[in-house]
Amino acid sequence: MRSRAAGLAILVTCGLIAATAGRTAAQDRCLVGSVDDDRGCAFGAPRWVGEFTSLTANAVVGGLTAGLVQEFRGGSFREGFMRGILGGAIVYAGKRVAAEGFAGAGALGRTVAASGASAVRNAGAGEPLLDQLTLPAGPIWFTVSTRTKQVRARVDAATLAWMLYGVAEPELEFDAGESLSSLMPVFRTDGKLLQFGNDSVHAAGVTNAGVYFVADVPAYGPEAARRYRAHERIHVLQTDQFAIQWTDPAAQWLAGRLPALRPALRFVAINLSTELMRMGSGLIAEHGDRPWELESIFFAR
Amino acid sequence: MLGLLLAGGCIDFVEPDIAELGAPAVIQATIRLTDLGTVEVDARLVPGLDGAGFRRSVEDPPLEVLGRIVDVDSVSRNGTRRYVASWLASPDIVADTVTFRAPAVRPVSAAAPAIQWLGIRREGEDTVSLDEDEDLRLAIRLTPGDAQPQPQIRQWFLRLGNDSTAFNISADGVPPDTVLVPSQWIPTGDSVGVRLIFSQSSVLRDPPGDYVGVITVDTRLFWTLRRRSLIAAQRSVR
Repeated sequence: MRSRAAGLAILVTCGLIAATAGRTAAQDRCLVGSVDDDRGCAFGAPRWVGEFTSLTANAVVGGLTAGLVQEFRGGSFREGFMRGILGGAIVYAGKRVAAEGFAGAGALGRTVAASGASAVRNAGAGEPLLDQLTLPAGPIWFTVSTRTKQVRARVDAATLAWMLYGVAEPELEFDAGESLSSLMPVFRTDGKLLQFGNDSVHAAGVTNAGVYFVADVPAYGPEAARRYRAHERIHVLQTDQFAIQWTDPAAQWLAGRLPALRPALRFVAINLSTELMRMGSGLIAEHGDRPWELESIFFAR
Repeated sequence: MLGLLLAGGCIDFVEPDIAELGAPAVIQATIRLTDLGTVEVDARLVPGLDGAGFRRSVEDPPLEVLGRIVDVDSVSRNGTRRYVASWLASPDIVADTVTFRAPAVRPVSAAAPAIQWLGIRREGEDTVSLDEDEDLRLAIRLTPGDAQPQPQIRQWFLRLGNDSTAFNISADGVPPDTVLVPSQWIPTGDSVGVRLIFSQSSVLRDPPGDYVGVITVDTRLFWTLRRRSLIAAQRSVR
């Protein structure tokens, strides 16, 4: 069973990478005159180097996560690591797809990447790789058990909170088309840029716990708009990755020890990915040096 | 939930700093004509952005100069178009009415800038024989008719020169039918080149002012002065 699932996962990963690898040189053009100008031009290495770096990084993160959790649970680090690598590779494939421009790319990429993150979580739990798949769609996390064929739904409280913020904020408008196409709540401004917290740098997009807010400034042109949206989609997949692999399992583990939490956590998913990334931002001051930003800039260029 | 939001901080919304937002489309063009028949066109069109921030488009009819369609030479990333063209026409091209019509830009409300300005031509031969103490008279004629619209600036410049000396005269307005140059202002020497530049220019801005043209037309006439004493000496040598 495990070997069949692993084989299927490898096949899906390879297929998705092959399907999206043929980007043209035109898509790598430098972009000037927009809020982030030519940050995508900062990559001087050949494109395959970036792809390989992202694949490796996601695989290693998946491997280390599953290996350490297995070790913590008294299992084999090596076994968890090897299977976690596979889950990480699937996460990479999902990001690769989500950055593409076709209708539904965001939804497909998000589902694939979440399946990869679920595989990492399963590997850490010592379960078959595709045993339970956590698939976020808007503020709902669906957990599909491939063994029992049962589906369980939980609410991502952080996503719901940011959605409510988007609805309440008069400067933002819900982008139904993009939200449906990507299975992510998307809110856009009407010609304005975003400024987050005390950051003096104006942004074209902000992602918080699976919700992204994007500046809709037609003056920057369609290419800039494509990049901003692809960039934020990758951030959403990163927040999924951190939440599914790290923060939600940690909350579930805590619930096992604190019975008072159990009833709530049956219906609520704990997504602290934004807080994690914000902590990471505190450690790496330069925006463009943060690994998750580099990955988003690379995929969206 | 509220705690999460407060922990994350809120988002502020700021206007992007786009200088050209809603600014008029602008075309700047220079047309140079000579009585050798050369025509040079150098124009730059900045369609800019409309009030909503969308890039304006450049459409038909295209740029037309002296009845000839001028194709775009290059388009930069911000939509600025450069038109560069040169061709050889009849020497009489300078005497024709100079016509220019900017390309259509959408969406703008003003008409595309267009001109019909007067040409100028030399009367008589391009080589003038003079005695040492004789004044120079250069006969020129403006093309009959009215300029549409009237150029805001008209100037003319006359330069007489050879390898060692040059003399310059300039004035506002149109040159007189006969330009008189006293003999003492004519550089010495056996042969003197004379160049007259008639420059017309205007800033065109039809209501409501969202399409601006800055048009300059330079027309150049050339003469060569020869000393009669030199011509006689050359004949006697033969």
